[in-house]
Formats: sequence, structure tokens, C-alpha cells
Amino acid sequence: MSLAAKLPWTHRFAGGYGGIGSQPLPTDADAIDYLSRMATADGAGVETGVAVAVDAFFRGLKATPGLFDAIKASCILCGARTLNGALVPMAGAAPANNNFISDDYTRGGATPGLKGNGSNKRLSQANPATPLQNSAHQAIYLSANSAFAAPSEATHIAEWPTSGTAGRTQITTNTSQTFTRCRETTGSYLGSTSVGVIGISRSDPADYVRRVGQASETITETSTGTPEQVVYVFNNSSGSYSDARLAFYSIGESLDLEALDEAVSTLVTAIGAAV
Amino acid sequence: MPDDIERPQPPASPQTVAELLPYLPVSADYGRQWALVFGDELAERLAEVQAAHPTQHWARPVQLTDGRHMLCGDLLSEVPSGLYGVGFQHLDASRFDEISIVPWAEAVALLPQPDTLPE
Repeated sequence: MSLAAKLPWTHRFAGGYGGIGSQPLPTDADAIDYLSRMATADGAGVETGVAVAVDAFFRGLKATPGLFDAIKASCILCGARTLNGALVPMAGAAPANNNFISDDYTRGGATPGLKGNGSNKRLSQANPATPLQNSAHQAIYLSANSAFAAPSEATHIAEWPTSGTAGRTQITTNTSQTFTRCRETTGSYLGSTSVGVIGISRSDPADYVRRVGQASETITETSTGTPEQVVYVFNNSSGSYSDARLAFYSIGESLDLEALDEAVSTLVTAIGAAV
Repeated sequence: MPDDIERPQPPASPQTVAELLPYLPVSADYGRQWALVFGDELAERLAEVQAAHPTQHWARPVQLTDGRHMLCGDLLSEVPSGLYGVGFQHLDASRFDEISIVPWAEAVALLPQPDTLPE
């Protein structure tokens, strides 16, 4: 990596100077806004290598029609210099941090992200958009999976109704299984799981798409309702906490999970190499 | 001034948070050994203080099956001036001896069990 890539992206010579190489700087207006808010929270701008990866991520999302706008709330839980910076939202409102400490956060390397403790740590935030019954998605980047073995499990993200089970939406894993619901009651198991992007997206009352291990499948389960607007990351409302490490999460309306997977996976890999 | 002066080590088996005040912030690894356990009155006071001084970071206790409330001990790595410093500075230090420190595994054994997933 060049010396220029290690300079804060806000540095006057970040774009290049004789002897330290040259490189492009962020150009996407939304990426620059996000990076600027992150720099305020962190106390310094991230390295240019990280900033360029974030810029490419934003531009990649926008290259697929509807993808960027479908993300209503999201945090990139890697790259930022501090936990404060990681909790700056790329979309939607900032989450409330319940019990995470700075040491729970790893900004780069092979397994970046924020690690739960499986007991009492979670993020919570309001979904800024009214949840829709038949247009919804949730996605996470699982850097390191839960250590819980069946029948125990870790819920990584959930948006449930205030009472009852209709319209539950969640992504849960243990060491051998993946369990998802998308605006429904029953839920569906996959007899395997994988690190990387796990996502669900519903655009039809009759079924939704689940993506695990870079493979998508259609789950035929009818939607049954809408959840409340509070989203929990690393937890659901009934006390199933995650002990996994997550590098990204997003919620919102239905979207192209394969395109999101490609953009997020590229981002996390690039950030991991940059810091 | 040398920068390799060793800080005094916190006790191996602390009983209350009051004993740890001279050692704050403790290391995250030290804090992870412990849970901070307290009763309803202190839980209500903690909620009041945080509501009066809101930040993005909330020390959010969970209620144990015996009715007491629990926080993870690693929060003590973020006080008095870290992520949870704002609320901490408004707590009544004279009541820290009412917050028991118990081994983390003992507290986890008292966590309510989550709903099971469908078969």
C-alpha cells in the first residue's frame, strides 16, 4: 500500500505529492458527507485507502438501480478509527449503543467488526421509514459467526412487532444453522451457515429471497404483518443476543441481495486490507 | 518521566465497585471477568441519570431471574472518562458499594432464557 493511502483522506497531500505516490480521492457526495461525519466522531479522517473503499462502495450501490435508496438505516461497522466513528450511520439515524465498549470494536484486518457478547450488548435504533409488509430487507456482514451450538442461537438483527409473532423479521444463526423470518410468523431454517453477507429481502406477499454463503434461494412463506419501527442489532426482543462479530448491517425496503452482497463484501475486504 | 511505570493492579476478587474506584479505568479483559449486580433502586437511579444526560452510549442493565439487575463489568474500562463517562460522573459515588461484583459466569447463569425458535 502506498504512503498516500495511509494519510487521512482530509490531508492536503492525500491525493498525492512527489515521493509519496498519488491516488484518487472520494468524489461521491454522499460518501464525502458520510466520511466527514465519521471524521468528526473519530476526531480525525480515516486513511485515504479506507475513504476510497467507502467511496467505491457508495458508487457501487448507486450503480444498481434502487439499491442505495432501499437502504433506510445502516452502519458500516469497520474502517472507522473508533467505535464512535463506526456508529455514524451511512443511512438513517444513529443507533443507540447499549453496553458495547471500545475494545469490542476491530476496525480492520481479516475479521473486522463489532463483537457481541451473547448476553446483554446490542444496538437499537428507530427504522426511519414506516415498515412495509411486502417490501423489506435486512442484511448483515458476519465476520465471525456465533459460537452457540444448536439448540442455542444468536440473533444478529431483528425487527419484531410489539406483541405477537406476525410480521417478525430477523436473521439468526448458530454454529450449524441459519434461521430467518421476513415479515412473517413461521420462519425457515437452512441447515448450514456461512460468514460473509447474510440477507433477506421480500418484494412479494408469497415469498422472499434469502442469501447465505453467496447463494440465494426463494423461501415460500406468506407475509403476515409488519413489525414496529425499533430495530435491534445483536439481539431480538425476547433476549436472544448475538456473540458474533458484524462488520455491516442494513435494513429497509426490498433490494437486489446479490448486488448488495457484492458491494458489501468488496468493501469489507478492501477496508480489511487498508488498515 | 518514564512511561513504563506499572499501574497498581486491581484486586483479584473485588466485592463491590467502590473497591475499584482507584483503579478506573480497568482493562477490558479485567472487566470482562465480572458482572455488576444491583437492585431496583439503583437501576431506577441509573435510568434517571442517563435520561437527564443522554448520549449515544447507554449502560443498559438486564434483569436477572432473581430480580436483580446486571451490567457487564467491562463498562468499567470506559469510565470515568470514556464512552460511558458522562453518566458515570453524575452517579452518587457514595453508593458504589451497593453494586456487587460477581463472576461473569455466575451472572450469565441467571439470565432469562430467550424464546426458543420453532422446530
